[in-house]
Amino acid sequence: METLGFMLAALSPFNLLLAVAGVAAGIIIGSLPGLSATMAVAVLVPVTFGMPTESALILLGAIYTGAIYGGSYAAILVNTPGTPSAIATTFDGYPMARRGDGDLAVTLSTLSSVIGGLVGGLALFCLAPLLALVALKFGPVEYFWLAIFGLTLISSLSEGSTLKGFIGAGIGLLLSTVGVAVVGGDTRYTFGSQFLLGGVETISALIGLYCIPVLIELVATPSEHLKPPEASRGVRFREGVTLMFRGKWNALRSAIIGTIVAILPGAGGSIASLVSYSEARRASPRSEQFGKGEPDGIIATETANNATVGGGFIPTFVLGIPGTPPDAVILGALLVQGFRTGPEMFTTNASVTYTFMGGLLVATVLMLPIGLLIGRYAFKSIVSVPKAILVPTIAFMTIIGTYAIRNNPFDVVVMVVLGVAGWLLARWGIKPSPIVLGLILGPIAEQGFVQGYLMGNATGSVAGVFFGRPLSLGIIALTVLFALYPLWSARRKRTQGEVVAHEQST
Amino acid sequence: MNSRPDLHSSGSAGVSIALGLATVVLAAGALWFARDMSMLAAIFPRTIGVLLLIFGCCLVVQALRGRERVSPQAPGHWGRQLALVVIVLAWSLTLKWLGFLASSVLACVLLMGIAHFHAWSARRVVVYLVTLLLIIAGFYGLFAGLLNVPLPRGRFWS
Repeated sequence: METLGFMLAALSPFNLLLAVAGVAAGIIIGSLPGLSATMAVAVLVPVTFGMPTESALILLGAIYTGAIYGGSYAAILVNTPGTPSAIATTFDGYPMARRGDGDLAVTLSTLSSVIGGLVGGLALFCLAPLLALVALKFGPVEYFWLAIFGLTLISSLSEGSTLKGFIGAGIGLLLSTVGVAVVGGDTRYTFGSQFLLGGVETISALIGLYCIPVLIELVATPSEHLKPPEASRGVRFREGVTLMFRGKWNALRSAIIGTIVAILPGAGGSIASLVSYSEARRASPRSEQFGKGEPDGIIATETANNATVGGGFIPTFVLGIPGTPPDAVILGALLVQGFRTGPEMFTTNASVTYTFMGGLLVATVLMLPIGLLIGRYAFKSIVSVPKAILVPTIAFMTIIGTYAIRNNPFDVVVMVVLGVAGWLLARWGIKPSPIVLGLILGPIAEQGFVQGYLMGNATGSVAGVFFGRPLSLGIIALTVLFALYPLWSARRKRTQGEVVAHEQST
Repeated sequence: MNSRPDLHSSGSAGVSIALGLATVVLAAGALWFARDMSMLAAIFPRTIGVLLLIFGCCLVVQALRGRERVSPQAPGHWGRQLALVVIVLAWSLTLKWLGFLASSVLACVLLMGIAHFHAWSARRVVVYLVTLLLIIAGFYGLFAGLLNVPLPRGRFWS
């Protein structure tokens, strides 16, 4: 009862105002390529220093959840993920927008984000201490296997040729090794350039690989970039709800995947959404339609990435280990306010913690009307903007967004070069998603592998370290299962095809 | 694997062979430059290098057997596409020298020119230019003023 009272404190007019402002600011910042949720939260942390702790947390949580959702706008309307967690939203969001269903895609993204956010928020409320214990069991070897598990997604992300998908992932993994080594501190592949010491910045690479090809294609033909709707159809809310109801199990599964992935420190929304997308595609009876504008693809990715918001707070509050990068910034803000994470967050400081949880749920619900309103105008304006304005505007946003990440002009050059290379590779059958996956998973896999290898050397059994722990074996089993499933599925389809052909001929 | 022969594909196997060979060259380069690294730092790049070498060879073999083809691409305005690449590349290289604002205004005006496929009228030029300058000013103000991002002022002017 006391807990409920704390949660209801989130409904004070000041806290509600902060939630509305935070969600709106987050959506706008998240929709700009280059401005990630982490940056949105980090930039606005100083604003919260004078506020009561629970209000500060509500504002930061609202910005975070709004930014993660806002990332889907650019992904759907201009094929550029506004935040890394919206990578997989481009797969089906942009094809939907191109065929004139951008408004429906934005509505689906809004509904999915709200559902994902609510599941993650409720998991934070109900299961925080229990789930945090699971995260503690993950050591370097488990992270290595988790990264390898992530790489098995390539088979579902590479359209057409799996071999080319693996080459793309190899290029991404190789790019992730540029700069100072994660373990040992050697400089690698810098060719004497001081600019490459910091490595290839992931978000810059992501902007380049997704955005520059869009720009190049926009000037290729005079045709419209998005098909305008034939008549005013509002936000197509009813249609969106119907599709959500059809994909309810997909949404629930994706929300659970998002929450679980977020609990693992360092994994983040991009991995959560990619895993969910892959699972949705695997389980769907319309798997052939994925990548061509299938609504279930958007439902999976957007539910999962918003579920990471609540899920990521679980290890942050219970263990003091941030689940996702924005959680690290919020943890810093919490420490500035004089709070210590750990069990006392749920005892001595329960009023702050539960008011924040209530605020996060309120902010997530508020995302529905705010998101639908902003989304409607975002789609209308992107459709009506002529190419002569759209192309320089997108180019300007990519340049300024990339520069702002590290205030480094060299990152902009790398972004453009990678973008042009990505466009050429895409024409030759290597899509950007496996490259990005390799780039994201590379450091996690390498750190886990090298640390595991050192542990194995110290204990005298490298194999024992890598294959001796039950959690590792569980992830290995899942990896093998998921890697072999496409082969089995393709074989089964071939056999069925042969049977049908045989029956038709007889 | 999904790389079964596509009977309906009329694309070129030559591109896939070139891509496979480029992958082999990339992998060989990665392995060559990893030879001076310490054992801990080299283990991961070497593993990736070996895997890329295998994938590259497999791609060449698959392409020679007619199993890997690149679908023909829709024709487009190559001149405009090339111009866009040159402008954006030059923009990124001149940020430091011309300054963020000057290089951006110049590049955006040029991009506006190549992204427009219809006839220009004086009114349209003015409306587009004003809109573009307002967008640039708005984002510049947001990043430089509100977010305190130190955008380069340009060595050329100082």
